[in-house]
Amino acid sequence: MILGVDHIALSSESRAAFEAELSALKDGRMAVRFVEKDLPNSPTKKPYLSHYEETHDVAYLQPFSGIAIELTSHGSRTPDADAGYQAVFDRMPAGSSPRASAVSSADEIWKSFGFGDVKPARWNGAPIWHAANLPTTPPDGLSILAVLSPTHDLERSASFWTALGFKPESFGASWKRLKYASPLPRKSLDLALVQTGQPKGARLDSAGFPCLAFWTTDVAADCARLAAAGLSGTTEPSDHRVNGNELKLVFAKGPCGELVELIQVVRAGARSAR
Amino acid sequence: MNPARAEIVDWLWAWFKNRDASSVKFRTEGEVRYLDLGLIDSMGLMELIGAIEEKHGVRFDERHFQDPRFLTMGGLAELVAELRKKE
Repeated sequence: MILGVDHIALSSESRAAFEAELSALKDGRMAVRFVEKDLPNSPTKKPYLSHYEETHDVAYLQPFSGIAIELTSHGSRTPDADAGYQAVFDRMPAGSSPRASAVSSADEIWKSFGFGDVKPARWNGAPIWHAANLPTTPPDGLSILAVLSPTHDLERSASFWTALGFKPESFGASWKRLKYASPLPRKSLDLALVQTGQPKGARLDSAGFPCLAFWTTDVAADCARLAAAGLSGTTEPSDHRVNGNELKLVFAKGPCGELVELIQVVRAGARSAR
Repeated sequence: MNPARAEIVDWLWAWFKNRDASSVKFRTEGEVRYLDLGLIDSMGLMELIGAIEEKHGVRFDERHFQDPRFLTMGGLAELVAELRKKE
């Protein structure tokens, strides 16, 4: 059973740059829930990494609202940010710069979300979006409003996300708006699927936001169920200890290359922070 | 209170107490919203779900999780009692 969207992964440029990137996120008033350096890296991730190192660095940051960001350094990153997801922020993050967008239906999509004027930008080497004038006063601190997922097959992607628990909200000729509503705080997500030309092929060390992570009560059962909706390339479940929590993790991709992580809590730490 | 529900409520409180002895001070006859009170966080909830499924031989699905009763101690016990009856 999928319980919620836990986080979106953000690739760090390098292990040397990790601290500076973390500081920049903290300056955006994101709360740092934990930082783990030299965390053992599972070899099962290799198919989803351009460059494997035995350890990696992870920081888990909670925006004021919306899903968390997991800043991860696998040592280096590849500059294929367009292959991943695109986060939509409630304001222009510090250090971002305007960019041109190839999404012709962007205005129509963001209007359907009720975000007002949304601008394309580039941040941390990745394409992002940000609201320029939200109709309501945004809370204090950078927040993720939604995530855009480019796809080369809108219908297959929609079926996949629906199997994950998302519900259709609205659609246009080349896009669909879906929502995952979790009763848990900060585990819900608005998702925009947008038709583009090519399949995605993000890896965990691709620049930008390569992976979306979900909580599940049973990784094996959900992987088996989601295979019928196009989940493939599923890694063997690997055991991890992160921030005092014993976790079982699986990485896999959707029918259009959408990289996802499924997380099962085997034993929660007494003071877990997610 | 139906006996099965009462028994499950007791089991739930014992589970919470085992995790954190101080949690029992929140026990009242009224509805206790365990997440809102911070008795467990979302990760702890995942562990609780696993413990309930194992102990009570039930299986939750998305419909149960979306049920508002899931987030209160009494409501959760009620859901488990209903599932036990069916299985």
